[in-house]
Amino acid sequence: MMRCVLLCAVVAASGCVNLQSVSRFAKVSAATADSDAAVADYVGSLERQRRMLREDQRAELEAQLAERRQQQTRLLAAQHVLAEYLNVLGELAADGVPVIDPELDSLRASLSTAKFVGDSDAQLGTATADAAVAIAGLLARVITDFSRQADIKKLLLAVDKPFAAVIAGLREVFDKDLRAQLENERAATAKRFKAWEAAAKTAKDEDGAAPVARLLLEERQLEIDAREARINAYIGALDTIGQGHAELVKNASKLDADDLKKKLQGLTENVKKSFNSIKKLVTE
Amino acid sequence: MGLSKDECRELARQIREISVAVGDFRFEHWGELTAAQRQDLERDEASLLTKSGEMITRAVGLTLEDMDKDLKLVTNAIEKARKALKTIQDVKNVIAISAGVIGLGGAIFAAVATQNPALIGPTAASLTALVKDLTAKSK
Repeated sequence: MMRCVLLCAVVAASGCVNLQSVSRFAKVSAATADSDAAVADYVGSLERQRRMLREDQRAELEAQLAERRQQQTRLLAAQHVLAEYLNVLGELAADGVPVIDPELDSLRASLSTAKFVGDSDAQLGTATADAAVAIAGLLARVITDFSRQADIKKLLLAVDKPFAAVIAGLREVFDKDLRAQLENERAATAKRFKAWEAAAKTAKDEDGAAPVARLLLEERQLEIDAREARINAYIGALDTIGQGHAELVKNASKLDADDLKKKLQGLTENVKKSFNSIKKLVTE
Repeated sequence: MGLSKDECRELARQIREISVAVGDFRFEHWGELTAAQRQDLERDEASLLTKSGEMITRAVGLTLEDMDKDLKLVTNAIEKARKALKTIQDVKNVIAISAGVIGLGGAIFAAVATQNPALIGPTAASLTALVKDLTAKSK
């Protein structure tokens, strides 16, 4: 009777918490945060700006390009740390309670081989031994699951502030500095084509070179617009990832709450949309 | 005292605007300017854009410096979380070793009962191999 009560209690307690929505959010966010394409423009845009300069002016930008290449490596590393953290969080939250059936079978076999199970008075009955093995297995699962939840909570609370700070730092660089660099590229591009247009107009070439210069400038500006859209999509993803992480921290003690699951599903969809936008804008 | 990142950004913006204004002047007065004057203005525009870019580079450098400490904290947390993931795996290992120890106990019991110590050898060897294998995997 006692054995049955104990077994029931362990079975009830072993209803492992489902953190699938946490895992999914973390993994989708990891893939999106690690986008090289958005960072590539930090150096790429300056390289394009360099091509717009006359040969004798290009050397002026070399030192700046070298410094930016180093900074770009650090930006990529920062993105990578975010992605790695989100991946680990996703792994911890995944339904990764280990399958221990083979180990339990071997435990059961060892008990029999060692002659601890049998019919004599000094031995355990077969049913008792089976129940003992089952309880050992359930306890192992429960302990692992509790330990997993405690680990996730500890991780979320430890990383809360630095994670938000890194997200804010990356956001700042993308929103302010990369955007400003694209404005510089816009100005450098306009300078070249507008000079062509002005020269054509002065030479009374109103229908030839002048409109062609305008059209080519428009095309170049559209390319810059597309790169700016990619930055916007990445900033959107960073904001959503930050928002989702803050929700996780706020609900660290109740990660399987229905409200949180619903919020995370919505946020995951938004991160996926940003991911698809970035991908689409890279391939266009 | 050095410039703050926001001051760098503001300077980058203002310098770019001056460059664009110089350019606008050049295009609007193209016919009135000599080729040499146009070249001088164009050189100034390019130089101003370079200076604006330098301010952007400096702002990014300062932001990266600010992020360094936080990145280190996140990296440390990742290491701890990886250890936690390994602990979950270790539960499996503990059960496997327990089963091996029980088997060894049975072999010792049988060896004493039959006065045949050779019965212990194979079980002990397989337990040693199991522990070695799990130790190698957990590294």
